[in-house]
Amino acid sequence: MIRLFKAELRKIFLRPGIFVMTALLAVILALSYFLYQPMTRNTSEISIDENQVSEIYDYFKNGNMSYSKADALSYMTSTNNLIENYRNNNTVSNVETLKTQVNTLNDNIYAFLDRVGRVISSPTGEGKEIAYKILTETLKPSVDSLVNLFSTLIDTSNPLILVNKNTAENITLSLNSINRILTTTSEPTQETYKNMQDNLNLYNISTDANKYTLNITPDIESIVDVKFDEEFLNTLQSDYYNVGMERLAVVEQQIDDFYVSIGGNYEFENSVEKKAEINELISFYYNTCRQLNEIVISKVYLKIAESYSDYEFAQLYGLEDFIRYESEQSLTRQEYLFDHNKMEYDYAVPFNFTSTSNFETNTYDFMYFVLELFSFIIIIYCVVMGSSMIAGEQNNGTLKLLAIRPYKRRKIMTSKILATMFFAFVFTLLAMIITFIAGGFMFGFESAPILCIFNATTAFEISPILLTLIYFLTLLLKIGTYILLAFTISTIFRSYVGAVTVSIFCFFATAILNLFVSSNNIIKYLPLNNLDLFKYMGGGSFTANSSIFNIFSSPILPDMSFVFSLINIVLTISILAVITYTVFKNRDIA
Amino acid sequence: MPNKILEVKNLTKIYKNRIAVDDLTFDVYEGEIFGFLGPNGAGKSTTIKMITGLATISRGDVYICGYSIKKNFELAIRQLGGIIENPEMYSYMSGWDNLKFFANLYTGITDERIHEVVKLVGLENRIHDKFKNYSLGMKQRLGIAQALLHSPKLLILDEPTNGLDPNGIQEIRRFLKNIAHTQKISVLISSHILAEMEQMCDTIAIIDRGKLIEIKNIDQIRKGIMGGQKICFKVDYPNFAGKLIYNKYKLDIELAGNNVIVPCEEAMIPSIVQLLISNRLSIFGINTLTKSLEEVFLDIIKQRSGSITIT
Repeated sequence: MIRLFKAELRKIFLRPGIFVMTALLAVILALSYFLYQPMTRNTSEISIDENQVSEIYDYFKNGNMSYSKADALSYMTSTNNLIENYRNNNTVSNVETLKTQVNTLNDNIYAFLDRVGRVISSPTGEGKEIAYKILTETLKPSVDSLVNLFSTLIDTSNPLILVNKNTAENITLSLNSINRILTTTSEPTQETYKNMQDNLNLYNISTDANKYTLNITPDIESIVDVKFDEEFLNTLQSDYYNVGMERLAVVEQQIDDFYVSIGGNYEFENSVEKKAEINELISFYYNTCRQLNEIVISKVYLKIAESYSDYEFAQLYGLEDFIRYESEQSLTRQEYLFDHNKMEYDYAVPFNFTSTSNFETNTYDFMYFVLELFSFIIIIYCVVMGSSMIAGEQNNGTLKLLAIRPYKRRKIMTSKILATMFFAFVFTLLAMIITFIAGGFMFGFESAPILCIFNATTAFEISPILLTLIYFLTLLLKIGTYILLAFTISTIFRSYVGAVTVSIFCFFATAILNLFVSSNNIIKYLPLNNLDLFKYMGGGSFTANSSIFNIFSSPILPDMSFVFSLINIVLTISILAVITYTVFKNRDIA
Repeated sequence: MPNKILEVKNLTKIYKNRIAVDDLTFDVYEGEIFGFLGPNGAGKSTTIKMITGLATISRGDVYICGYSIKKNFELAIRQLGGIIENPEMYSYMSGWDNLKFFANLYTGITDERIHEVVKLVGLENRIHDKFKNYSLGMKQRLGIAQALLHSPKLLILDEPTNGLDPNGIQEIRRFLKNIAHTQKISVLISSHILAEMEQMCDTIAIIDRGKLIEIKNIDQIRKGIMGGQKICFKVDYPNFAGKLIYNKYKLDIELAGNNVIVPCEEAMIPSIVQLLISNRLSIFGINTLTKSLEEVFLDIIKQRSGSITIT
């Protein structure tokens, strides 16, 4: 079968279309230089260099604006408060408190109703003043405090209860309605006391309020307290907060020692190197605080999310934007940095569309950009080529001549598919090498080692060249799957034009579904959304809708993982292969 | 006893609601030119497609040099070369590149062999031109070239003379007869150009509506399946001659002008001549009348269906 493969390959390279392909490659390379406008990555590194070293030191120690010690420590305080809040939360039940208050309010309204009833039934309207007094001095404030309690509990910066977002909405609306109802009572005058309307108003007011309160009661049943076991909170305290504080103490000592070493020496005060040194230390101090804060917050959220699936979690109030994958990925990154005593700006990030991987552009980012564009083109070309190799050859009669050779049908199909894939491999490799070299001259070959977070849970450092290789492999997998799809469609549809059209339709259909279907549970199963395995390496853009490419292949949706996508791809390829080979084997040619 | 190169046994092709080929059985021997005849839509092309593996076989089997198409496809097909319907190849490649492409699919076909075959079909001058620039005749020739490249024992041609001028047709005829009789390559031709088949084939099979109707050696056909051979004597007194022959041999005589048509074998000519001359008749000419293949063919078809079906 190697002979057949080589023959098909030779046929591909003799096609006139090969010149078109090469020309397109050149055009894309040229165009991309102008199209390429990357957003440079933001750094959290601090560099204050207008002042002298002493001033910087003084500002750090005694100031309270950004990047001062006080500012940095505010993060630590906030972290500690967070832990404390949850410790306290463990000892109470907010839900019970909520329930009690609602029940009390309910009872109060009943009592009030009762009193109003007596007022209405008495011929002289006796007791009205008392009724109004109860309204303004007891009922109204208790509603207010209930409203406050509820909004505190659902504060998203540290959620103390978990409530479904619809329920939360209902409860808030109901409480507001009660509030409104109880407020519309105007201050009664002497005359109105005598008026029967007032009594009825009061009666109506309280019945309405009662209705709303009764509505809330079943909703409250579904609310859950946020509780963490002691061990978890203790770990946060000891392994993170305490360790962080120790580290900060060390760094502060280093800063103090550094300042002493300057010793008021004028030369050092203005030296660029010395300024850089102190900036680095301050940066480290500040970012350690930030890091810790982020780690603890992420851990808390992820702990809460443990008992829920991504779908369920998305139904909770205030937590709809929490994407587990993104949060895990960020946590893994922060923990790795924290464990290794490193900062964000010590590493590059994997290639992506939102920003450059380093703080300046380099050839790797450029190459990624060009290859993503190029893969689009080569996929279309291979789809056309694949269609012509099956449906086209069937229609123009050359497939007949191939079929009467001593090769089983499946060998013919395999050789065509492999030849097309080999062609795609060669051209993609060519594009990669040319772009790499050209980009190197335009943007430089420099890059820091890249910190990859694989599948949100595994962190490792990797050289950019190795990451490029990994990217290349995932790209080949993507292109290969499209090629197989094209062959499948071409085998089923006898028409060459039909085959091309349907292939391209599949491509755009995915994009349309991604744009318009909001249920992620369906979209994540679409094969074309799982083809890009590189997004699991931890590049920035893949969990946010930040680029047009995300409609052609969705970002990481809830419940998607590397294994999920891999299984999806394997299944897709298997099904396509089975269909293609079965149909082709049993087809009458011409 | 010559070898059987092709054995077709109970070959059947069933589409959704009709039987296109019904229980076909025949053999083709080594070095034989076998003609496949039938009206349009009879199932010739379908049969050929099944023999070459282009169409799936519903029932029955095909053996090429003893290898079954169903069980040993690769070994069976290796012995076969063919052109099915219009000879189309890759238009953007030259004739040479096309042949090289096919040659590369087999082991052991050298460039010399390709040259040999090119010379055989007479395309040396134009072999490096692009296929799309070939005339129909050249395409046919290149088609035969690719079919012969791998020295198959069986050559299958489906309507090979389609669109050729008389010169081209004659060339093909001579060529095929040559390779069949000298190189011992069997040829299976399907056609409805009866005149050509008559001149070329050793054996003829007639198919109509999927069923095999007749298989006969060409001489047998010529000698008239439908009523035997006839000898025509051109004489001065036909009536008298007719009576003489009738009285002596008791044969039914037909008269047509000066011609006396006698249904008898060639071996009887001398004695009839003797008879006429001894009766002082003058003989101006003696012909063996054979039925043309066309007549035989149409007779058969008419007999089968009562009329000619036009499809």
